[in-house]
Amino acid sequence: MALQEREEGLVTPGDVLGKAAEVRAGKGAYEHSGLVYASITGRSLTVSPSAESPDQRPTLEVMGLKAHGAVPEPGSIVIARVTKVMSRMASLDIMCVGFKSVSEKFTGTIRQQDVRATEIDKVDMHLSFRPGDTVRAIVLSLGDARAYYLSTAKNELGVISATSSAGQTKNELSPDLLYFSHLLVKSFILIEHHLDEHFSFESQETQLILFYYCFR
Amino acid sequence: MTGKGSATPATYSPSPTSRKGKPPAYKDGDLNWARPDGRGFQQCRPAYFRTGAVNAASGSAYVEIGNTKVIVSVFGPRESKKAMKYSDIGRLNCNVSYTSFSTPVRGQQLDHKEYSSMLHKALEGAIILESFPKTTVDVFALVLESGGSDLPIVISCASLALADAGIMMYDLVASVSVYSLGVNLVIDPISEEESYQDGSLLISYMPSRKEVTQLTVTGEWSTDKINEAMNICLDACGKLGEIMRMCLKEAASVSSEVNLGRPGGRLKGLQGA
Amino acid sequence: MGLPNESGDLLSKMDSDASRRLFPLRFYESHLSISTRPDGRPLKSAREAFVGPGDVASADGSAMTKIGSTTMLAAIKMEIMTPSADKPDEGSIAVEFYMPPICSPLVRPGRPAEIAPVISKQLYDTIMSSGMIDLKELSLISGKAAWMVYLDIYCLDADGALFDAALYSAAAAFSFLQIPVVSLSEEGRLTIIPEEGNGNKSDKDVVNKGKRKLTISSLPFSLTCGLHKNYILPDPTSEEETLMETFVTVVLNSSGHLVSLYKPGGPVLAQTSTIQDCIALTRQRMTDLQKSLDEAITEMKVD
Repeated sequence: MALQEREEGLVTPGDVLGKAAEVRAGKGAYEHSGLVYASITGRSLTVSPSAESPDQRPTLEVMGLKAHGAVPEPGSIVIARVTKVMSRMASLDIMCVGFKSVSEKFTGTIRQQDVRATEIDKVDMHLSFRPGDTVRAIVLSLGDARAYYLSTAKNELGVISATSSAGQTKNELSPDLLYFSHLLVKSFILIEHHLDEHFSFESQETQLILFYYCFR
Repeated sequence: MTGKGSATPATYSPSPTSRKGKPPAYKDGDLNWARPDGRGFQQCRPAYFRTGAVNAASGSAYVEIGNTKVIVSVFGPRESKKAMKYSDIGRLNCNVSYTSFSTPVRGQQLDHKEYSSMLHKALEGAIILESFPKTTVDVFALVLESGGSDLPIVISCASLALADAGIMMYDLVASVSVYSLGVNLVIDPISEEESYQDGSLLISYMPSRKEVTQLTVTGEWSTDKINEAMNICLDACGKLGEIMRMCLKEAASVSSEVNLGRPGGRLKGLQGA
Repeated sequence: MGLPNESGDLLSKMDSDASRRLFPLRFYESHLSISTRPDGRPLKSAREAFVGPGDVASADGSAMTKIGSTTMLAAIKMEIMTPSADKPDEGSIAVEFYMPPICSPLVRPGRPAEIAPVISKQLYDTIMSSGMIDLKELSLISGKAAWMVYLDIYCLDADGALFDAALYSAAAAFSFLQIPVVSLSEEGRLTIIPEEGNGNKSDKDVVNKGKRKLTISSLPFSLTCGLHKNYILPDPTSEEETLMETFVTVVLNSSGHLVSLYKPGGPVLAQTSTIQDCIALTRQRMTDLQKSLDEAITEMKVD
């Protein structure tokens, strides 16, 4: 916990911030042979350690005035758009990391086993995703050379906006309803197997909209 | 040539190919020669740096030193090309090109492969590649006008553009070259001086870390002379680094004042006041 | 249908940066509905334009223009050519438009931008058909030698309306052009007389004495408008260009006559009234562009 912050002047990459024996290198700083240096341009900030911390050295951070664009990292929540659905995986373009848009898209993949937490072998990718869907997902790992591995296997993750089958209009849902609909879709996918043929809907979007009207 | 239906007729430049009318500034064995622009042998040209010249890029810088004018844009970190293998650390990709009017003879060497690779080598060691795993940072340089010492100016400009883009670096990289002309050592040579040189030495240096990222020596040098040249170069790199830091700090204080990310967007022309 | 409101909710709760990226069209239209463009401009406004000398020492004339953040550097180099047999008293002009990788994240080295050659051709056609340059003025020795004018335009920062900014830089570069003074050498080649050596040469050797400037009869100025639904949106940014599919580019010369009109396809059918509106907007724009250019020319003469 940052108990005390003291703002210092402007620094540039390579500026010496202090001795490693006295301060720790925080964000935007690094340590090299006994010295702490800035690695970006910005304002340096001294953060005092919390009382219970074993290391009593204050931390020096550099608050970048202009950080580079958002890049997905393992654990970050991303918003991505489905580009391709295959039987074992779906390809997505990552558009936002957190709520920050990326300047150029990154490619992500949701593998069949990462769609939901339960009954992972029964997931039908084509029922779960459709090209054009907007999905909230978590980055599992940096993935392979092609893509980041993403997962929707949590309640708050999944499709948040979908294109109608006709492909013209987008229907976004309000956040609370959205959250609810994730649960619904998830449960729907679960019960879907037990449904009669007559009851299976054409697409996930119609399902969503149907639920929307049911619960209004 | 675009816009011409038929093939463009053969043309030639009316500028004199050799400097016939003008005696060369330097002749072999001449001890009392003067530099064409009147500078001292170990005096650099004044340097003008500005960050944020290109809004479309993640970061950019414009440098004007004498007649040499360079723009560098940095893009990314962005997705690496599909053909690339997976990498735990980030990649640096560099390209240097010239405008068709950058040299006295039109349209020579638009894409400079050798400089692209030397720029890469000079910068690689200064960038914390671990800070952007698997992605690529592209550094593209365009030499608007070539007036001598092009490569070191491109390197310094690129380092400034990287800092502007917020890419994590161990230090800035300042680069300066020294040429040997007879008994003299000439710093920051202009194009004309470059054509007379017996040997060249280029240093790319991290001034705060006091580490050399790149050292290129060509031609014939005695050990003493090399030592002298290196000291001159390192001293000049240190001074250049200070100018670069001042430029970054100025841009940062402007942007924090008006709370806008890009000071460059509001300035007219590239060489604003 | 309660949907639009609900989605508005989502948009408002999301960072505007993210919604701009995710639902660009909706983001854009919500701006248009309150009569502003995303960059804060009123609907019918073009961005601020700047023009100045390019200061390219290795060129005979150069200019830099900016429209918003779109930046162009144009430079003219004059070379000598042998005129063609059917036009012995005419020189020639070549125009090339470049989009180097520095100007946009979409251009990569070795993968040139597709629109660059299209703009090159459009610029050449416009310059030739505007009649701004009399090719006969480029003649040096009838049938033997004439000027070949190489106009190279580099886009340094691409943020929409590339043709407008490029044409403006071309017009400025021609206005700033200083024709070099050449003399005939013994080998029959024409060479530049160095400025300081002017006094040594006898006047008869000089081929083009007193002809340092081209007579530019009438400069062309252009304005590109994006058509989106019922909106006419002049001077689109690159973001706007990706959202709109129909564009109309009007080129007028300084006396206000129509030089050319491009409407390269697009789903929005432009009615006569729309075209007339575009022309009227170009006329307004032209006044500003010409004024700035005149000021730049005067400033240059003072220096």
